Parts: sequence; structure tokens; C-alpha cells
Amino acid sequence: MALLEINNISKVFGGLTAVGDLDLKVEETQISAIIGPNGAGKTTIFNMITGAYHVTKGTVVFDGTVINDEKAPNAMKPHKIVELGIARTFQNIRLFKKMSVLDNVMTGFHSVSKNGMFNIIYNPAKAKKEEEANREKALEILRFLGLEELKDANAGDIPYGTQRILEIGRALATSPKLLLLDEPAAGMNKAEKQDLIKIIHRVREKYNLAVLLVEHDMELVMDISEEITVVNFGRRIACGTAAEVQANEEVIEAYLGRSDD
Amino acid sequence: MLVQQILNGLTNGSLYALMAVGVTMVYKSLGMLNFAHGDVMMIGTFICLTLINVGGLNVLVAIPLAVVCSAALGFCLERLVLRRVEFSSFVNLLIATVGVSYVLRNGAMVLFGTNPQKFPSIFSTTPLDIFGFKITPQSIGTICVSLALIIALHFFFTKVKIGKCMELASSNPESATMMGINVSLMRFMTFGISAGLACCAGVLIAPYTYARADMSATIGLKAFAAAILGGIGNLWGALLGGLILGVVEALGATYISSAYRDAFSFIVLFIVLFVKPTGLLNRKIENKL
Amino acid sequence: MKKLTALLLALAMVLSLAACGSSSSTSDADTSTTTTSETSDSTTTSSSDTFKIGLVCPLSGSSAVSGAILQNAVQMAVDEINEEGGINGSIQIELISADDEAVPATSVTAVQKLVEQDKVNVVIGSQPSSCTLANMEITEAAHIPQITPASSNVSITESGNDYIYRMTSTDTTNAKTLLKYAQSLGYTKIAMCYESSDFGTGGYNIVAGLVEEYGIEMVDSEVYNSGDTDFSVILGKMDAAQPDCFFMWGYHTECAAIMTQMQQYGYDYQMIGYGMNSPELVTLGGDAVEGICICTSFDAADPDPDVQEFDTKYQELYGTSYDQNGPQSYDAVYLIADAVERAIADGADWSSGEVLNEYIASAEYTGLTGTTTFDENGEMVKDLMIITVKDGIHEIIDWQ
Repeated sequence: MALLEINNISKVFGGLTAVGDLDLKVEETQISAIIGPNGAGKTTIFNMITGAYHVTKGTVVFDGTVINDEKAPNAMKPHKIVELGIARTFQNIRLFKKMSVLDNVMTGFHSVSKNGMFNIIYNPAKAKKEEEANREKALEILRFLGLEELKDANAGDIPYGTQRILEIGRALATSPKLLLLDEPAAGMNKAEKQDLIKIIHRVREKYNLAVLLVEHDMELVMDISEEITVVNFGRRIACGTAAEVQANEEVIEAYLGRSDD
Repeated sequence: MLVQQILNGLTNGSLYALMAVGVTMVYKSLGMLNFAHGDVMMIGTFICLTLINVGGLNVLVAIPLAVVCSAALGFCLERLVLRRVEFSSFVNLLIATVGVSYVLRNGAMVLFGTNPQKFPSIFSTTPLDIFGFKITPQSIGTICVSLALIIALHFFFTKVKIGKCMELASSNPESATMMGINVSLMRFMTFGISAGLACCAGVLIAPYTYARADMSATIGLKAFAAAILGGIGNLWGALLGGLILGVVEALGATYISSAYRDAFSFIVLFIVLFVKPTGLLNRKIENKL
Repeated sequence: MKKLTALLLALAMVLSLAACGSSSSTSDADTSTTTTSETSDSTTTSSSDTFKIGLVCPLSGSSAVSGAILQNAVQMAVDEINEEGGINGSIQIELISADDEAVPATSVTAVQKLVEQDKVNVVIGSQPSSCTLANMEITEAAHIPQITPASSNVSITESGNDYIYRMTSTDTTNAKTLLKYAQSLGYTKIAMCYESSDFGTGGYNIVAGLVEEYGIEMVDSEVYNSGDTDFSVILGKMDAAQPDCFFMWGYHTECAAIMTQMQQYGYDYQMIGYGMNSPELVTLGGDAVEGICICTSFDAADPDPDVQEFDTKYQELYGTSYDQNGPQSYDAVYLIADAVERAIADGADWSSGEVLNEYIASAEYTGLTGTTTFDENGEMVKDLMIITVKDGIHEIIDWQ
């Protein structure tokens, strides 16, 4: 069974079908991508995976658990889905801009160390110990991403491309099994994009997780993805390896034909 | 006279600060101004008074109980009223709180009557003579308790785990969700804590003003003024705003006109907002809409 | 479904608002029948066999305690008379009450309702001067007599209104009594605080105008607003002027707070005043109000048997205490009943407002509060007493 199984989902807003009858699978440790023209419904798909939207039709199953089901009154709560192991970055950066780089990563440990969440009685010794441990884990992530030097800098002050990497680092802190990256390369220059490719590969290897990204930069997508799903007007028009997708007539017509960026 | 009035102003100011903190917390977390805050304070005060008069409890026992009841009231309000209006417009949310305020106030009139009622003070009211100035332990106690509560709150939001989660949930709900924080639950708790704080303010105020169903009239508005003056959404801003308001009011009443006492707070507010629209301690415009 | 819910909610809101705003009537029935009155053997027939008294006073808000006293006392008198068969043994009294919340605009509306809708024969009320000043124009225009048993501002009887009567001491008589008392204690300098309302300001103006006659100088005067809770500033200023005593013209809630704060700041002055003689003064003020001297036309400490009987019965019926407005309102009802009876004896038509007005103007009624007559302005003259609070109880001072 795949890590993430999206079965025939649809999302209808009033009269508009944003996503229709979509199937998608992501295997464990697989790197996949969703591509398609603007407005094709890619972010909507992400939102259905994270529980922000309730599916109008179909089911989303993650690691054997149904997290979004048309028959249920609501999707599973987003924060619970995070606890199950899905982490997500956003199109527009949503870091805690007033906190330091290190603190941003540390916020990711809140859900993991669930015990003590309701510990209103403040136990200084315990808290300090936990704080120390989290600090170490966070530093390790920063080291891994090459951000250790910036650990005390204000998250809002570091360069844009670095902010995006930091977002990935923060997501990693929640110990995900699946990492959803929403346009991670947006606004990056060529060098930064190269770095990003390397980072995604290394992250997958070290943390043994699957990655599903939405991207517009075709070079990056083709380089990194093991499987690509192409959507247009909310529907899947192709799914396969980079070579297969590039050769697909419908895809060419809908998307690849036009020069992008 | 000057020093006496400054001391006086600080006493009142610390109470405004305590109320302002509750207002600012809710604004930060829910993005709305809770116009029922003053009336929640009033209800909390009456709950305490009832526990003392009818339940025969000692003041020091009744107060924590009343605070808990108030927090419970806050929780109920959040779940039953605010939840329903949550995703509708900002204005609807505001009107909903005005409605709650109306219900609470009239409910109190029916339940507790319309006459002001005496409320016991936990501190002694016999004045002490310090360097020729008369100050009551009650005054000192009020200032100390208010400050202590605000500092404790700061500590809570920066060091205690759940406080930190609440803080994250207010400042950046989407990211907080992505960090596994139940933002909805955090909002719920913020409201409850805010209500508990209001009750604390109420039991400190009532010995001066008597417990009355219309207690919230002036202090409610001043709490908003103080919160906005210091920078809405900012805890220390609420403290600063409250103290400034209290002192300005006292000095204005002394040197300009005692009849227009209540107006001074608002005059100061207008002036400050004119010069610095985000309030004293806020750095940039907070756009919660 | 949502629309229906919204509609129902709106309807419920409108109904509840209407219920809140309406007066608390004792009876809804409009018993205007055209049967001839059995007691009248003249050709002028009364249009109904009930006599309607309209009562306007604050029944909610911060003056509710004071207003309740009027309501209770009037109700007591009305019930007593009705039990005996009614006015002249046969005319039942219907009492219609309206809450003016101590707000002048609301008071006007309330009296309009009493006069136009309920078609009362006479109005009793209101309690705050500001309300009476506002609403007495309505009764004047409708030629309905009105007796205020509680409002003390002098303009009430000095505005040329022929239909207004006052059955409580005026600010002038109160002021004179207070100043005379202060003088008797040897005070020559006073500092005065007063409420910013018509009541307080009126009192202040009169006191300020009369002080010289008593060899007294007003060294400071400070104003406060009803509902104020912090009096440290005005007390500080009054103290700084170094008076011999403090004067106050205001109501009990603020008085209790003022005297409590005087205690807290160590301002040890004799407090003399008017307007705060209420059951709640000691309840709110506790030991801070010990020793205050208040001038009043009535106090339950009076040993007169009629007074004691009223006191006992009032306590039994209502379980709360009352101030001078209680017996004054009580006497007002009896004075009105007496006026109606005299009209009937003369064969006059008491249902006519003008006629009833004449009979009230010529009243000479002896009741709980002594003998009441009115001068050409509708003003009543009475000898006043000074009471003090000792060990939480009111005590009449023998000073003259």
C-alpha cells in the first residue's frame, strides 16, 4: 500500500469544480511532483491532503489512516494530520518572522513532544531538559541544511532563498513521513535552485521521507522527480516519469508548449 | 498633592492595565475586540460576591473559585457564541460581543438587582503614612497583584509550553497548525484565560466602585483605550497604556477639571493615535483583516 | 431554514424589547364605563368608577432603590384605601406605574403614556429633579395635577406651572436648615461637593447664595458626576482649602464612596449634607458614614405612633428600609383621596383635571409627615430635622 493514496477526489466550490476525479499515489521515500498551469488546482490538492479542505468526493488515505473522506462531516483536523506525519511548506513564506532561525525550527517540536502539552504546572527542571534536547535536535537540522551560522539571526532578515530552506527545516522538525513542498523554488535564482535540488535529495535520504512538490520550474521538476502528475482544469491528464510526461501529447498542448517563467 | 495623585493614578492604572491585557490577548488571538469583556468582569465580581454572601465562603477562597467560574464562562462564550460567528465578517463578531454584553448586563440586573453592593477588600483599607503621603495597603496591594498577574502572564507565554503554543497560534495560525498545534483549542483557552483575568480585575476594582450591574460602563471603554494606546496585541503595551491612562486621568482631574475626568483618557488616546497610529509599543501596522 | 430562524430571532428581540420598555402596570383593564357613580347624586356623572393614579419614578438603574420607595409607599396607601372600599368608600384606585430609569427623556415618555394612553387622573412623581422638571410639562399641557413627593430643585415650583405640587422639602429649606446647623456648631468655613445633576447643582447654588447670611464662607466647591468612583482629587482639593467641615449635596452611593475615601485618606471632617438619607447609605458605607449629619423631613426614628405604625407595616410588607420620600408619597396618595372626597362633597366633577387641581391646591391634610398645605406655587413648607448615623442607626439630633 502506498504511503499516500488519493482516491478519486473532487473539490467543488459552489458551481466551480476546482479538482475533479483525481487519483494520485506517493510511495514511501518517493519524490513526486504535481505540475500544471496556473489555476489547475494544485494547491487545492495540497489543501485536501493537509485537511484544510474537506473533499467533496473521494478519500485521502495516509499511512493506512483515512484523513479525508466525503462520507465524514469534516476532514481530520489539520494539526492531527501533522501529528500523523505530513508536513507542508507554503507558497508564500509563513515563517515566524520575529523569531530567530533556531527558534523557528524549535517550534516544530511542540507536537512531537506531546506529553507535557497540558502541563500547566510549570516544572522548571523538566522544561529545561526538554528545551536543551530540542535545541540540540534543531541545531542538527540547521547543520544539515547548512544554516547553522545563521541560527541567531531574525528569520525575517535572512535572504529569501534561505528563508525557503528554513521553512523546510522547520517542517522537518515535526518528524514527517511525507513532505509537501508548495512551489519551493519560487523566487530563487539558479544557484539557489541547484542547492534546493541537492537538499531535497539529502533530506529524503537522511530522514527517509517522501516528498511531493508542486512546482513551475520544469528543469527542477524533471531533474528531481521520480513520478510526475500533470493536472489541468482540476483533472489528471498524465502521470509517469519525466520522459513519459514530456512525450505526452496532451501535456505538451496544455502546458509544456508555452515558455514558462 | 502631585505625588498623591500619581500614586492614585497608578492604582487605577494598574487596574486598567489588567483589563487591557485581557482585551489585547483576545485581539491578538482572535483578531477581534471583545466588547463583552467589561461585563464578564462584572459577572465574575458578582459570582464572587454571591459565593461570599450566600455561600458563606471566605474572600480568599471565593476569589479563586470565582476566577475559575469566570474562565468557564469565557469558555462557554467562545464555544457557544463566537464559534458560530467565527467565519463570518469582523463586524458580525463585534456585534455578537455587543449582544453578549447586553445579555450579561441585563441578566445581572435581574439576578443581582440594580443597587450597588458593597464588596470586601482583601487588603486593609486603613491608610499608612509614608513620607507624609497617605496610601492604603489596598492601593499597594492592587498595584502589586495586577503587576504580578501581568508578569506571570508574560512568563506563561514565553516559558510555559502551552503558553508558547497559544502565542504561536495567535501570531501565525497557519504555521502553528503546521507545527501540530491545535489552533482552535488555543483560541478557546485564550478566551477563557482572558475571562479569568477580567474576574481578577473585577475583585480588585469592586471594593472601590461597589459591585454593580453597570460596572463595565467606564472601565470597559478605558480598557480598550489602554490596550490601543499601548499598541493592540502587545502585552507590555497594555500595561504601559493602562498606567499612562491612570496617571493622566488623575493629573488631569487634579489640575484641569475633575468633572471631565473620564474624558482625559480618551483625549490622550486620540493624541497618541494621531502621532503613532499603531500605538506606543507596536512597530508596524497589524493587519488582522 | 436560516431565514426562518433569523426571522424568529428578530421577532423575539422586538417582543423582549417591548416587554422591557413597557411599564409595570398593576392592571391592564380599562374600566371606563358609562355607568353613573352611585355616590354622586348630582347631574354631573363621573365617567368611570375607578380613580387612576399614575406613578412615574426610577424602577431600574442606579436610582432604583430610591424609586422603589415611592412605588412601595404609594402601593401601600392605595391598597389601604381600596381595602376600606376605596375613595369615599366606593371609588377604587387603580395604580399604574411607569419606570423612567432616572433618565429625563424616558421620564417624559413615561408620563406621556400615563396621560395619553392610560388616561390617569393624577400623576405622582418623579423622584430625581431632572426628571420632574422634564415631565411636568406634559401634565401641565394635559391639565392633570402632578405631585412630586421627592424632587427638591426649586425651579419646579417657580416656573409658573399651575399643575405641579411638591410634597418634599425644597432645596432652600434644606439649605437653610443645614447652614443653621453648621452655624450652631460654630463652623465658619465650609468646603462643598455636589453632584453635577440638576439636583446637586441646584443645591449648591442655593447654599452658595445663602452662606453669608449665616456668617459662613465657602472656601472650596467641587463637582462630581453620578457614577464616579474616585473622589481622591476633589477630596484633596477640599482638604487643601482648610475648611471647618465638609458639605455634600448628592445621593447615597457616591456619599458612601466619598466618606470611605475620606477615611482612607485620613480626612477627618464633619460631613453635613442632603440627599443621601437612604437605607443603603449604611449598607454601602459601613463605619465610614458614622457621624454624618443629614437634614430630612422624616425619619423612622420619630416616636410618633402613626410614623411607627407606617414603619412597622412597611417593613412587614417590603422588608427593606426607606427614606423620607416613602411617607411623603404615602401622604400624597391620602392627600389626593382627601381632595377627591371634598370634591364629591361639593358635587364637583373630580374626573376633570382642572377641577381636581383646584381641590388639591386647597388641600390641608394632616398625615404622617405633619400638616401639608400648598402655597400659590404648589410649594409646601415644613419644619425639618437633622439626623445622624450612630452605630449604624439613624438618630434624630436635638439641636434647636
